[in-house]
Amino acid sequence: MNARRHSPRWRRLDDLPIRSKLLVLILLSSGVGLVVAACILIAFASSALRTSTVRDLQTLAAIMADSSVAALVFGDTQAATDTLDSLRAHPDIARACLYSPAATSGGALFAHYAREGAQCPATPDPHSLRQDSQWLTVVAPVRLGDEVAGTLQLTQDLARQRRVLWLLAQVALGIGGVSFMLSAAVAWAMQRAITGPLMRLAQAAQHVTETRDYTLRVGPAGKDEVGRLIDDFNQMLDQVKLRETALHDSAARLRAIVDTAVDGIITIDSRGHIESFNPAAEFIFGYAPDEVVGRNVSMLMPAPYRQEHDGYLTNYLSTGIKKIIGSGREVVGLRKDGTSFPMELAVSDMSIGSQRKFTGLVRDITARKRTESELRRLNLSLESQVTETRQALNQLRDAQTQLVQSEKLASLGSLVAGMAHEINTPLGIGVSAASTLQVLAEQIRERHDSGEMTRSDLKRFVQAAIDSSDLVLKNLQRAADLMQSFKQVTVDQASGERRRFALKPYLDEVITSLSPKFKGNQHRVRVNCPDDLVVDGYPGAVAQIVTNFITNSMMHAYPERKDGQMEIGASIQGDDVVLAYRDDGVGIEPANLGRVLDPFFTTRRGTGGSGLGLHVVYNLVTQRLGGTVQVKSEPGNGAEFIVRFPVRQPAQVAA
Amino acid sequence: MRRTRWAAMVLAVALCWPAALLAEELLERKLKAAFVYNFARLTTWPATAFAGPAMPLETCILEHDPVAPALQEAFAGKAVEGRPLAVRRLAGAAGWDSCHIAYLGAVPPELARDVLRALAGRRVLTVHEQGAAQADGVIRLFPADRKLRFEVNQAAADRAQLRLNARLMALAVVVKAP
Repeated sequence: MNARRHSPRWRRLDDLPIRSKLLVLILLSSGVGLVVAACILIAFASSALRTSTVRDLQTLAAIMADSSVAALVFGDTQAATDTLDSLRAHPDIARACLYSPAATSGGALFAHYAREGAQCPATPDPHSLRQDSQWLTVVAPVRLGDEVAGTLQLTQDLARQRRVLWLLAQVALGIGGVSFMLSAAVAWAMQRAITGPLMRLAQAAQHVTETRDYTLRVGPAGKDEVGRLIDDFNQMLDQVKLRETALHDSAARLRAIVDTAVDGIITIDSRGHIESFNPAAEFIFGYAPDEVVGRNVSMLMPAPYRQEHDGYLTNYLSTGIKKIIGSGREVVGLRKDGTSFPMELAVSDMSIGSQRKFTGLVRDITARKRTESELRRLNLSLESQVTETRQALNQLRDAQTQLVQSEKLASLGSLVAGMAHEINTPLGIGVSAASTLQVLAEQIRERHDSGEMTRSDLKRFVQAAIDSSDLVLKNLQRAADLMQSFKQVTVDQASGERRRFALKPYLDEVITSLSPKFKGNQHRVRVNCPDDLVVDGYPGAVAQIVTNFITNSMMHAYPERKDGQMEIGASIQGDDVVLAYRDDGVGIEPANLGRVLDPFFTTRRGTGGSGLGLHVVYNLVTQRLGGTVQVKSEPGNGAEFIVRFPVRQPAQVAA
Repeated sequence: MRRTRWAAMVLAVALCWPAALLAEELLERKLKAAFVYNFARLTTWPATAFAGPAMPLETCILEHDPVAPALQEAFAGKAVEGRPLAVRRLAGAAGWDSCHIAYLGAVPPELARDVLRALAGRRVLTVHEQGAAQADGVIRLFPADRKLRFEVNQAAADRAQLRLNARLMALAVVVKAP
């Protein structure tokens, strides 16, 4: 961190290899430690030696003072001198001076002992302790009881102490030197333990840097910091490997996307120079990538955009005001062959590091433009067609209404035809019976006029007249009956009269009116209806519905049979009448089931089916009766129509 | 040294005064009184020798002994181990046994012998100036080489239950009298 600011000498230490650095550091620290320890030791020893020397000298002074006190108080100089002379055994004592107390001065010399070169001063030293480089002097009082009987001054020569200290220093330095050598040897041995793994790590790192082989791993090391560093390094390599793979994958994926994109993708730098140009862009502009990469993107634009593009770019970079960036817009592009074309351009900018880059997505919209104008034209013609179609539809609807109306009339017509047929028979019988009677009456009148008429002739005639008139009467009566029922039905159908009517007899009448249809076959219709069911509504509609059901069944349900069983069931459910009509014919194909009520839907177009019969039913039920029709059928199991309408039908219904 | 100082003074006096001899005698008396004072300081009596802790240490001297005034002067205001020093002057051979120090200086030899015999083994430090060591005397003062010396009879001191300081013994001529 701060190493850059260090002095050149420290920078040289920084440049040293770690093993030398370690060695230098260890030796430096241990050397400093040893020197400090030696200094402290010597200082301590010197202090201790001085303290003990002073104490020893003070003790000696006290002993000598005690030994001299009697001689001093009894004035025995000789005895005192003898006592002091005993210090001769102590080689370091330079002098011993015993002073008696004196009234005027600090003291008078009473007895003394001095080696060569030493002399006792006339008066004792005023300080109890004095030390110079050569001598240590202590002054002790000579006491007898509470009284100070004199003063003893002892001086020790410190030469021996200095010699001891010097020896001690030499020993300390020697030990320090030996320790230093030992620690140097240990450090030399130990640094291998630290730098060995580090060197391996460094070599591995260098190898990885040179070869980019991220699968390399550094061998196991201890659990210390270097070991953890190696573990981390290995994990880092794992991560780098993973990242590299992921990066590679992602780059490959991106390249695949860019290369296969339908839109042209062009990246430019902040000066507008093309950096990449994908295959779609090649296709759109007709340039190969090496023809455009590195050149200004304005080459892809016709004038005047070409001249203005650099201005746009610098403007955006300096002001941030966007013209295209972030939003798509239609511009004009210039192909290699010089043709210009409409294109859609979306530009996004991005910062990679400190660099600004722009990515343009280009789509050739020539085809789209053409399609758009095509579409617009088509749209116009379609609108006119729609108008025409609507008119046709209206016409069609009118035609349908007319057809429904005519179908109603047609069913009425067939009803009239059936009615004529029915009435014809009794009328015919009546006519032949009446003509027979006329012939008989002519014959009897001729016999009477000729007078040949016998009694038996008259009898036979009367009998024949009775029989004939009876026959005439019967058949006329039948014709009258038929007429009555037809009249009822046709009047109801035609008039749409609204009235209250009992359903069951009405249904019976309808069936009767359809009896001509059952001539020459064994089809039968059964009516299953409560007698007291009275409907307030439009009986004509009901009659036509039932007629159309039966007609439909007979036309479609029994292609090969002539013994169909049809059934009309009626019941009250709440306020509704449920009229269930079923046959036991071939049924309706499921595909047709939803269409049988549609107008003009028929499976028998060629053989006379109008496709309107059931639609008329649907119209009548939904519009006249205000109800619903439901169709159920399974192929082979007949068909069932369930009509549900209110028992009291709405007052108004449009036909 | 004090003595030399005194000697110098005395010499000065002697040169200019006809009574120089008297002065030297005066000096000798003071010296003897100082010796007695030092003996008192360097001797330890048994505790039974005193009636109480602060009782005075008494030195008995014959009434007319010329040392008596010097002794009184030397003892004035002094104390040893908290005991004031006192001087009792006696007229005859009686009363010595209640003293702690018996100074028998200028006394007739008969009287000295009687007193010493009476005090034998009585816890009294006897100081005498007889011509020779006495069996019952503890310390004998005698002049030698123009100096005042003393000898100690260790056996008498032991009998009197007195402990004399070793420094004192080092200065003394020790006699082993019976």
